[in-house]
Amino acid sequence: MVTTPLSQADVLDTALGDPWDDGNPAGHRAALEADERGKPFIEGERRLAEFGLNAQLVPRSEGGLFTRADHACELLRTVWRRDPGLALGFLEQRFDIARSLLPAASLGALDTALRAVTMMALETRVCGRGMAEVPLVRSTLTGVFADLLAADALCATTLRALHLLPEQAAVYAPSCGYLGTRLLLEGLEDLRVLLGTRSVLPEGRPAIVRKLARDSDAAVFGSGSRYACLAAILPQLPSLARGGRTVGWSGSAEPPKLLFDLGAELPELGPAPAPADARDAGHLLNTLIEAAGNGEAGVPAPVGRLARRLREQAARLRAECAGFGPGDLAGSPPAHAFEAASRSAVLLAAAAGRGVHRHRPDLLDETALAAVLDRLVRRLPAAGVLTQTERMEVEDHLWLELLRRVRQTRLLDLSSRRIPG
Amino acid sequence: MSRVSLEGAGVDHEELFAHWRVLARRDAGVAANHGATYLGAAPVWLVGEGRLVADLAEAVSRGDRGGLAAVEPEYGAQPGHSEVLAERVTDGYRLTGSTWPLANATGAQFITVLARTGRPGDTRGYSLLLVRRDEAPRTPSAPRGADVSGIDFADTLVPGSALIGDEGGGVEALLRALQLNRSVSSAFSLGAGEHALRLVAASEALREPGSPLIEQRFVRAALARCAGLLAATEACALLTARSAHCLTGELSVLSAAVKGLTQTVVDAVLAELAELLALGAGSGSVADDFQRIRRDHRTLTFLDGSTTSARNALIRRFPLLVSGFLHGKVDRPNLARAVDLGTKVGQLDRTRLTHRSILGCSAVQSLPELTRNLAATAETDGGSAPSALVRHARELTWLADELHARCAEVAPGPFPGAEAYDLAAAYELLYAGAAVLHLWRCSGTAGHDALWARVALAELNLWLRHRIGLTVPPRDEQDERAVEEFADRLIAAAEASAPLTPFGRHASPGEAQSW
Repeated sequence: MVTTPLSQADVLDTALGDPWDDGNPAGHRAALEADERGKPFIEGERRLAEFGLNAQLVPRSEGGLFTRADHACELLRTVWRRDPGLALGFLEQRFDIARSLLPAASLGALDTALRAVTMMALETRVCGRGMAEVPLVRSTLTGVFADLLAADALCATTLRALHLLPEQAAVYAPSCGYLGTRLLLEGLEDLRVLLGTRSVLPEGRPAIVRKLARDSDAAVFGSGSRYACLAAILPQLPSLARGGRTVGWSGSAEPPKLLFDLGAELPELGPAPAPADARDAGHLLNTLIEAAGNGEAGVPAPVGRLARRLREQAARLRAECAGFGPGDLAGSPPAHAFEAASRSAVLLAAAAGRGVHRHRPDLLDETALAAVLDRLVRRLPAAGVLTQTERMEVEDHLWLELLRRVRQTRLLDLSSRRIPG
Repeated sequence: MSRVSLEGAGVDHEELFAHWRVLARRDAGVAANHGATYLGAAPVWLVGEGRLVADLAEAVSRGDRGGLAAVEPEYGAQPGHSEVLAERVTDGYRLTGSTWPLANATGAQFITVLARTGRPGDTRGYSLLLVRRDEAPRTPSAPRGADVSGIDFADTLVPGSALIGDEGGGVEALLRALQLNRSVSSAFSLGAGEHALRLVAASEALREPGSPLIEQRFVRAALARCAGLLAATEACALLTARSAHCLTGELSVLSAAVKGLTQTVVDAVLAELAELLALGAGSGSVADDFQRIRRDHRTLTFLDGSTTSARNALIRRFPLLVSGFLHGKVDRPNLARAVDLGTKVGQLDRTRLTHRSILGCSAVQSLPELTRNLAATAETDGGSAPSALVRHARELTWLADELHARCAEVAPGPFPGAEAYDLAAAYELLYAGAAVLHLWRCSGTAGHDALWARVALAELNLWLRHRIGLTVPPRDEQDERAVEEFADRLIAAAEASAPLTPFGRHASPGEAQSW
């Protein structure tokens, strides 16, 4: 998330203290100890109460301080970077926001896990060289980093859409729920596999990673199945086949620029709107999916080729959706409909990534975008796009960025915000 | 389950695999503890001599448990450095340092430790020592939910007779023992996977009255795919356990491949099943149990090293595998014995266990020939191999070509890149596909519809394409109908508490397979 300096999240971070300081009663070590004993994380809860987190998550219309979903996410992510049950308890306030906030906020867990494993790689030697110099280690870490950025682009866009296009929540929220949580859980799994036999070490960074993975499993599975999210996307698929674009937002066929201008002002979040007709929502999906593949003319090679591949995939998806008859998606939809829904979520994420890059290149530069799109394309039934050399260049770029952020204690999401610890 | 020696009473690895499967279906943790004992004892059986072997045999026979404290190198080709140092002293060795992971730490009576006796990083710099409980103080600190903990040595003295094999031969012996262990330890994962599949397929949570989820097509298809993948993994594991006896010289390849395959497939199956379970209303504590099964499984799979280290082993052998495939090198008589489930395997000749497979992998390298035979039989015999199976076999063989071509391009070196690991993962899937075809063909089900094999191969081919980075063709309606039919059989089997895979029990030749 992207906000002004000294945001509420910074205040909260400071109140919670340096998580890596073993002496901090609200730090990782304390959270681990409470977790080991199966007890609540008392000091953490006390500090959150003191900060008044509860009020921050109650909408203003109901007497609270909640005005912006992206700010709320930032706050929750601050908590999630440290501990389960702490962040989760606060999400039961409002279901429709919660559905989008959960995946968005839980990326905080992935941030910490990636940071922890990166730090460990920098400090450990294996077989006579630094662990961070091992090609497989770097590829894995930069891959997870790219996935985190992809997830953040999708989540950030979704949260802004809650304000800007509230009737279109049906488009964004389930895709965010599906893919955001998948990227989270798979990223955590990749990190665990990378740790290998070290992942069972009882203390230190592996233990933190393990706990965060457990927290995330509990939260994600506790809030429902990814299949439920996909089921919510199904009604939009037939309109994908019909093609065409949404006309709105001052007559343009493009998604509104404000959607991707992360951090820019947002209108206040109103009470839950009546959901739009699923077919109208589908028009928006179509537009966004096209945006994923549009305009590669004049765009330098890798991103251009990735955009072309995305467009092919969008066309393929559209053709498949044309095959859905009126009764197909009701009652007992076939498995391939769910598979189509999952691909639409991937294309939506790609559109979000491109949108963020276009309107805020300071948050997602071209090489990072190439990494994000490459990873997303590989989730589609498509052949790879980047050459071996291009992939290595992209990886090198992301590695340097990852290193920079870890050393400067900056977040690993799109904001790159500096944090106390 | 206690055996005196590998050659004397003769460990039949296929039987061991079967025993562990049964046990693991009930409690993967208990089964794994037995596995840990085998892991600790195997090096002694392999290279130990005289009193050491006799004493340990007696200990294991009376029920002592053991473990292994040694870590295989994960990221590179050099032997693992152990953090335990063994200095020669007058009557033996002085041990200092700590090591992990170690299942059974709190319950073990003996532990086989890989300790450094020479220069760090030197392949001949490490030795195996058998340490008894009373000799080593322990500070177990287990992560939640598993008896996996560390062990500390602080100037611990062990006698010279504790040395297993010769000084400096530790890594070699460990790797050979790991081959044996890996060729059967997939039983634990498979047991856990099958248990989970049954749990979910028969779950009340999917059968809420009104609009039961078990009747949803996507739920049935997901269950069927999970079962197909488990069946393929089981075929592969069974073939590998038998190959420990019949194709011993290839075990360095086979054991590495089956390890990575099993961990990847079962993890994915468990994740998918968790998603299905999460759909069910009121699944509450069943869902919690399920997450515990997943966590335990993750810890289990580290008993015999990590998937990364297993894939390292495959990557190092790429040149051998490429050459073997190119030249169609196949040990026909021994492969025939390995795939013929109806016959008992012979004694294991431990002298044939080697670091360096000469031939590669007969099962994979015989694929082109096998596919041609299947296609010919289908044409002449009026379709004894269903044409769909032949189609899958042809695709698998084509993918084998693509894969080996890419493996040929991997530059040798101690630290492979990520793409090499992807290719190794793909090789595991290929081996599984070959196992499916070989076992189907030899299982005496000619004329049968090969449904399990078709579903298994369709999934494997899909996974292979993703791993190699190839386009995935549009869905095939015939394949989807096969999945639906397979789902019907699977769910009926789950509801009837019948085996969920074709190898749930050994079928005698000629016995009709319901699969």
